[in-house]
Amino acid sequence: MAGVLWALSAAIIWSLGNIAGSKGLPVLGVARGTLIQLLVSAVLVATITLPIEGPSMLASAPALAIFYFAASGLFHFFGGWGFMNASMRLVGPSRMGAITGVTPLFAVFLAVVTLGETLNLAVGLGIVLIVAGTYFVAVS
Amino acid sequence: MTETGVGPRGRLLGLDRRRAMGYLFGVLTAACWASSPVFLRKGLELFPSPLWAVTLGLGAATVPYLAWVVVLRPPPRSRIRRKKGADAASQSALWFLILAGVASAAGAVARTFAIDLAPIAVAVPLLQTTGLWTIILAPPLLGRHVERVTAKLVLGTVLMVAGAALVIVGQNA
Repeated sequence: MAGVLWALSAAIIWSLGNIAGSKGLPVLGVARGTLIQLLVSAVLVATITLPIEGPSMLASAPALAIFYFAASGLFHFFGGWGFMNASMRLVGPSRMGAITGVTPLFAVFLAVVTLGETLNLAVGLGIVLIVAGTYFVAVS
Repeated sequence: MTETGVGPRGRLLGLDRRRAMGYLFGVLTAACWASSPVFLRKGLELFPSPLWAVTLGLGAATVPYLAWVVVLRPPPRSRIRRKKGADAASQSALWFLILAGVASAAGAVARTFAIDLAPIAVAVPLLQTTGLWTIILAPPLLGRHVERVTAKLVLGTVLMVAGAALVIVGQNA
């Protein structure tokens, strides 16, 4: 139950964050707006991480792991947040939030291509629903 | 319609150009978010610290943005002034973006706890409901004249959340 509450909290907090961001982006622009969000988030998360994990733990991290974390951050935060804010400026937070619902489609594609996973009935039906949903969002 | 799909009168693939570009950026966001876990998983296999993973990822993304804004100086919509005669709109925008940054960080921490405490097949579909919450919360917070929520948008979002839940449950079956 606690996990469910944390997940719902995250979804609601993110949606409030998107709405707040959409108020600031038209004035400061996507580049500055994304930079402000990244700086604030980086400082906050580092403030939580340092006392819990400690800097000595980071010193023992393999260089390859740091490379993978940096690559992950470049995709999720640099590309993802940048495109997210660019989308939000043009179509607003509701339509941006809806259209990013296609994320599992790309995840399935990557799983099939890189891991050789096969599609089952649930995944196939889910893809059909996502494609149908994308159409309705696009024409809304 | 031209070879690039850009038609006359500022239309792109049958949609208003501004809206089409907004959707294209949304799809690119999704592609980035789907690619990121591939690297995250590989990193966590070598160094199992989700908190350091998020911290390093944020740091890696912040540095190039900082360089972009400081070196290339993209055209500002408005300057941020702290002294007398400060531009009220810029100050207000700055606070909204700081709030967005706080929410993003808080959401990331909440997601970490959710994935730790609940099965992936339960946690991830719930995390995907962000779009639904935005549809519910945006019109009263932004104004119904600013954020127009139509029946088609609600239907599309519900279908996409249900589809995402099915895909995630199917992948974890």
